[in-house]
Order: sequence, then structure tokens, then C-alpha cells
Amino acid sequence: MKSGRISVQVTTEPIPLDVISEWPAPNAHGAMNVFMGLVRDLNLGKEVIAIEYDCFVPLCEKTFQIIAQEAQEKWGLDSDILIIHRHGHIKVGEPSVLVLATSKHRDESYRITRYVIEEIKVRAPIWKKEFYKDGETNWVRGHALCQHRKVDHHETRGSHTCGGQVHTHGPR
Amino acid sequence: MKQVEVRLFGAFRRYIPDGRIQITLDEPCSIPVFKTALFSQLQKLNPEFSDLNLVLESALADENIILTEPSVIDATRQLALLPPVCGG
Repeated sequence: MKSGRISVQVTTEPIPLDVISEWPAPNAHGAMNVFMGLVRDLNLGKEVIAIEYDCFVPLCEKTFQIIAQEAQEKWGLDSDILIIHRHGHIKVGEPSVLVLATSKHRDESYRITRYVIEEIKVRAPIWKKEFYKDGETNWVRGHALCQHRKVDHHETRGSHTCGGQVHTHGPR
Repeated sequence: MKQVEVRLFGAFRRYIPDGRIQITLDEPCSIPVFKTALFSQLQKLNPEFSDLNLVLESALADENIILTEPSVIDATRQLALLPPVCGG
């Protein structure tokens, strides 16, 4: 069996959506699933106008690679996985992350994209600063890497959020 | 005495905008001891910084791995202090 392709990238450029239609899925793959995160205009009751991602790029890309390998080991070593995450300033409505998986059957590709995005949220060294309409900014306080443990996504579905305590800054 | 450079990310940039600090090490030390030195240095460089929990909740890493106890911190490493993450 041929090993699946893994491609990971952190970029300051807009995520090129043509990678979806141009992804060279093998003929043996009958399913492609795509998850795309978008910048939302509201968090904790505050109107968001933009966000800025900070990222420790070398470790982040290694973490993406490890997460993708784990997903292949769970749901198919021949599956293809693409991960692209934005870095820097992004406006509301723009894509922040793209996870693409192709596999022989649809179930594996759904599971892979779900696993990858949930693990990214708790393991990838990425930080989010929100810019609000009232001029304030917040560094969103998320998941502590030094306390990370593997989770069962069937039991914790939807439980990984970036809400909670934040650092409030004055208007810029 | 040797200097260890530590890169800072996320919420730490509010206090140290260029995202780099130097920690002086007399001898190799544990992660908790190093975090105490980091907190002191952060306060010294920016007296507004008082968030000890942010330091304690942060992980130490290099470009390849997140360090776990009982790792020893010495002056041969270039490190990063990683506050709680929020990607995706």
C-alpha cells in the first residue's frame, strides 16, 4: 500500500482555496472532506473586527505533521492530509485554517478532519489576539500545553473552545 | 554564568513586544526553577507584569519538542515560552 501524502503549512498569505479543487487525490480515494475555520464576528459578547495569530512556526509545523501522522495511523496510512493555518492579521469572515483529507471511503475522511482540527486547537503553538469594534484587544487564553493529555473526541465533542479568561488591553 | 535566550509569544508580547528575553543561569536547573527566574526577569523588564499564573501555565519548548519534567535547562538551548494555545 502506498503511503498517503501529508502537507502542512503556516502562512501569512490568504489560504488559497484552489488547493481544494487541485489536490491530486489518488484514484483509489473515493472521498474528500474539508474543514475550514473562519474568523467569527462575535466572541464572549464582544464584536470582533479582526484577529491576529501569533505562531511558533517551526514547532507548529512539526506538531501539524505529528497530528496528521496520528490520524493516518488511526484511519488509514494511505489517506492524504493537508493542513494550512494562517499567521498574522486576518479580517472577520476570512479563512483561518483549512484541513483537507482524502481517503478510500467517506467515514475515514470525516474522522481525520475532525481529529486534526480538534488536536490543532489544543496542541499547536498558535495564539489568537482579537480586535474589537470598541478599540480593545484581547489575547485569548486557551489550552495549556504543559497540561495537555489526549482526549476522546467522541466524548468531548465540541468541548474545545477558545473562550474563557482573556487578557484585556486598552484601545490601540 | 551563562545566558539563555527565551522567545515569547501570545500574551507575553503585551509586556515584551520584541518577544525575546535573556535569562542568566549559574548552573543547569529544573523547569520550575527556570520559570521562577523567567517571572522575575519579566517583572524586572516590565513592572506591569504580575501574571504568575500565565508563566506557570506556559510550556517551555525548543523548535522540536515541548519540554517535560524532569528536563534540565542549560545554556546550550534556545528556548520558547508558550502560553496556553488557541489555534484553529
